[in-house]
Amino acid sequence: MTKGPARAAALSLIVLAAASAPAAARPASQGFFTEAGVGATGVLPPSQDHAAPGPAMSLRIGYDLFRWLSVGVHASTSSHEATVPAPPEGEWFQLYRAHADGRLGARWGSVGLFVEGGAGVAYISSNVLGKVMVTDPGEDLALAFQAGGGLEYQLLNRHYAVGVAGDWFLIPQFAALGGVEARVFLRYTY
Amino acid sequence: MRRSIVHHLSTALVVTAAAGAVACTEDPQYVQPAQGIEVGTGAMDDDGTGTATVSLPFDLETLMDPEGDVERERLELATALMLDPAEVSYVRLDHLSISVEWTIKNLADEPGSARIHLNGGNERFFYNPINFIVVDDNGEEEARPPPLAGDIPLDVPALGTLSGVFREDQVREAAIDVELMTRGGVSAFAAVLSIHEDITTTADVPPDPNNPTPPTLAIPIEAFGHMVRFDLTFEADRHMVLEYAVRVRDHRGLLHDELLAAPAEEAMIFMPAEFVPPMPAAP
Repeated sequence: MTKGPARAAALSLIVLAAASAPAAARPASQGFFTEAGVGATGVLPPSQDHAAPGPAMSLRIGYDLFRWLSVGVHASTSSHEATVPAPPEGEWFQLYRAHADGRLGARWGSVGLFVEGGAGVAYISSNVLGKVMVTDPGEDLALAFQAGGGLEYQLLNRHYAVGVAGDWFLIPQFAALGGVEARVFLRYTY
Repeated sequence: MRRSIVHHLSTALVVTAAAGAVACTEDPQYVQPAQGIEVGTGAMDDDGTGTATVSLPFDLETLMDPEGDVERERLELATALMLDPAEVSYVRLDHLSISVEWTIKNLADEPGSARIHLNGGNERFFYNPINFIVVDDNGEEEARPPPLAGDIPLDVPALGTLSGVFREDQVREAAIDVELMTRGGVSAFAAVLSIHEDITTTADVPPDPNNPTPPTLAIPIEAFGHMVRFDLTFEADRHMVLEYAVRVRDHRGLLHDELLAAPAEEAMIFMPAEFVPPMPAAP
C-alpha cells in the first residue's frame, strides 16, 4: 500500500522534470531586424491632467550582436489631446521620440523575454502645453530617456516574431514629462 | 542579401523621416496673451466693454533678411505680378492659417449675454469700425459698420463657460476685407457684409462710389497681406472674462520660435496705421 503513492510521486517528479527541461529553440534569424509596433501612450503625473492618452506607433531598427543582446534605434510617435484649461479646447499635439537603445533578452523555445533601455531626444509638435508650463517659450526639443521590457513569440517562419512591450519614458526638460507606452509589435529579422 | 537589408532599412528610415516631416509642416502654434478681458467688475470705469490687442511676433531675420529666401520670394512675386515690390505684403494669405479660439467665463451667479468683436489688420492698416461712423445732415450718427467677425449674441450660463472659435476661413476673409477697404477703396459695409473668398484682385469688387480718391491699381490676391494684428472687443452684461488664443499654422516658418516671449531685438512686430476712410465726395 505504501509503495503506490511513492511511485506516483516519483513518476510526477519525472514528468515535471521533463517538462521543465529547456525545449529546443525554434529556428530564428539573427542579425539586422526591423520592428514595427502600434499601441497607446499615456502621460504620468505631474502632467497627467494636461494630456489625454493617445495612439502610438513605433519603429525599431537594430542588430543582434548576440542571441541575448541587440542594439538599435527606436523611433516612436504618439498623439494626444491637450487637456489644458481652455482656450484652446480639443486640440491635439504629437510627441516624437527617438532613442539609441540596447536590449537584453532570453528565449525559451518560441517565447522570449527582454528588457530594454536607451536615451535620445523628444520633440513636441506644438506649444499648447506651454500654457501649463510644461514647455518654455521656443522649447520643443529635449533629451529623453526610456526603459521597459516585453515578451516575444517566434513564429514558425524564422524571420518573423510578434510580441507585446511596455516602456516608460521621461523627458526632464519638459517639466519632467513622463509616460508609459504599451504596444504590440511585429519583428522581421533579415 | 546585403543589398536587400540596406534597401529595407533605408526605406524604413526614409518613411519614418517623411512621416515626421509631413507632421511638422502643419503644426499649430498658440499665441496666447497673459491676461484675458474682464468686464462687469463694477468698477467706476467699467462700462461692460473691454478691448485687447495682440500682434503676431515674427522672426525679424527670417522675414526681413534682404538676401533671405522669404524676401527673394517676395521680389520674385512682385516681378511675376508686375507690381512695385512695396505693394507685395511681407506676410501674405498663403503664409499662415489663423484661427482665434476663445472661452467666456461667467463669474456671476446669473445667466448673461455677451458679444465678441474681432477686428485688427495687416502689416499696413488696421480696421476700427468707430472710424467709419458718419454723421448725417440732421446731425445723427448713421449705423456703424460691423466688425470683421463676431458680434453674435452669446448666452452664457450662470457661473458657466462657453467656448468657440473664429475659424481659419473667417480670419482669411477678414484679411481680404481689410485689403478691400484699404487698398481696394471698397466701402466697409460692402467689404464686411459679403464673402470675397473667390476674388482674384481688389478690382473684382467695385470701390465705394462716394470715395473721392478711388484706387487706380488692382492688387492681386497673391499680394494681399494676412492679419497680423487682432483687436478683440468683449461686451457683457454680467461679470465675465474672455480668454483667447490665436492659433497659427505657420506654413513658411515666419513666426518667432518664442512667440510673445521673443527678445525685442529678434522679433518683428508690425505697427499698422489705423485706417481712416477718406471723407465722402460732395454730392
